[in-house]
Amino acid sequence: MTAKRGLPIQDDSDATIVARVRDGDTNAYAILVARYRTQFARYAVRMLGSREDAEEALQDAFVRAYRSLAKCDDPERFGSWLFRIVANRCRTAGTRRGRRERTFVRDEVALHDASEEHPAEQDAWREEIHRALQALDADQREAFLLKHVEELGYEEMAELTGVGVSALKMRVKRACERMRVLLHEVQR
Amino acid sequence: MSDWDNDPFIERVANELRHPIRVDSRFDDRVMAALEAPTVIPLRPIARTAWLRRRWTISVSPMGGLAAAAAIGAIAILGMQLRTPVTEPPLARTQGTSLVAVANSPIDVENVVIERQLTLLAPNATKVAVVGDFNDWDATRGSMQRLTADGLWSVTLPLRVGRHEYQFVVDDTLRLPDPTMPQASSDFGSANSVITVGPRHD
Repeated sequence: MTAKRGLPIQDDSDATIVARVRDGDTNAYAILVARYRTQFARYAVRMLGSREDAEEALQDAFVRAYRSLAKCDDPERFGSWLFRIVANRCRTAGTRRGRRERTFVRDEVALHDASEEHPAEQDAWREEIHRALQALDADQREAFLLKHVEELGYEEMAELTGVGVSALKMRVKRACERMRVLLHEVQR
Repeated sequence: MSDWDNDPFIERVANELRHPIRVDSRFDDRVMAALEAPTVIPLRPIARTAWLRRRWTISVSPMGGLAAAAAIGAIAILGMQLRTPVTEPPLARTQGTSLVAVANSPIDVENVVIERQLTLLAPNATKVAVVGDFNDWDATRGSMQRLTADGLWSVTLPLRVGRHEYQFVVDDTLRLPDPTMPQASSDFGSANSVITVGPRHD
C-alpha cells in the first residue's frame, strides 16, 4: 500500500486509490477513470449501439460513482461496484433512447489487427454481429454481453443485475438462439 | 453449464465483441471536469394557490368588450403615470409568466407564445445556459444571466403552449435537470426537466 501523498501511482490497488480520493485527493480518481474506461466503454457501446450514447452513460456513471464513493462498502472491489452503476446507466439510457435510430460503431476497427487477411469481409461480419446484437431485447443483450463478452459467472451477473441466476441463464440461452438465427440468415 | 457456454459459433461472435473500444481522447478530462462542477442548490418550488390554478371563463357582449378595453387602457395609462422606481432586482426567485403574443381570434392555442422564466442557483458557476427542444438543444441560444452575487442565474424564454423538455448546462460541461420541476427520461441517460406551458388542464 502506498502511504505517501503526491501523484497517484498507477499500480496502486483500487482500495488505495479510493482511500486517497475519499481523503480529498480528487486527482487520484483519474487513475480509476483510466483503469476502467476502456473495459466499460466496450460494454456500454455494445449495449447501446452508439459511441456517443455510450460515452455519455459512462461519464454519468463515473461522476455518480465519485459522488457516491462513501457508499462503496468494499473499495477493493471498486470495479465491480462501478460496473453495476455503468450497467444501470446503460439500462436507463437504452430505455430512454429506444425510439432513436441506432448507429453502428465502425471506427473500432482501427483497434483491430491490421494484418487481417480479408478486412472488407471482416468488417461486414462485424457489422452484422452488431446489427444482430442490437436486434436482441435489452435484457437478453445485457445477459449475453455479461456472460460471453465480459465473461462473468452467473453469480456475478446476478449480483450485478439483481436478476436471479435461472432467469439470467434463460436470457443468455434465448439471446444465443436469436443471435444464431439472425447471423445464419446473413450467412446464407 | 448450458450448451451455449461452449458453443463455437457463439464463441466466435463473442470474440469479435471482445475487441476493446477506444473512448474519445478528452473523455478523462470531461469526467474530471464534471467532478469539479459546482454544487447546485435547489430553489424552493413556487407555491401556488388553488384559485390561481383555476380556469376562469368570462363572457361579455361586443359593446361590453369595447367598454372593458377602454377601461383597461385607461387604468394602464394611469398606472404608468403613478409607477414609482423599483430598487429591488427585477426578477424574483420564482418562475414568472406573462402572455406576449396571441394568434387571431378564435384563439389558436398552438400559436400562443408565453414567456417563462427559468432560474438556477449555481453559486460557483461561471457560465450557465439552458438547452431544450425550444432551442434545438443549442447552448449558444440559451445563455443565462447571473442576477445576484450568490449565484442566481436566470433566463426568460418565449415558449409555445405545450410540453417542453430542457436541461441546464453549467460551465459547458455539466448537464443538470431543473431541481424545481418535474423530470422525464432523456435520450442520453440523464433526466430532463419538463415544463408545461398553459392552458392548464387540471
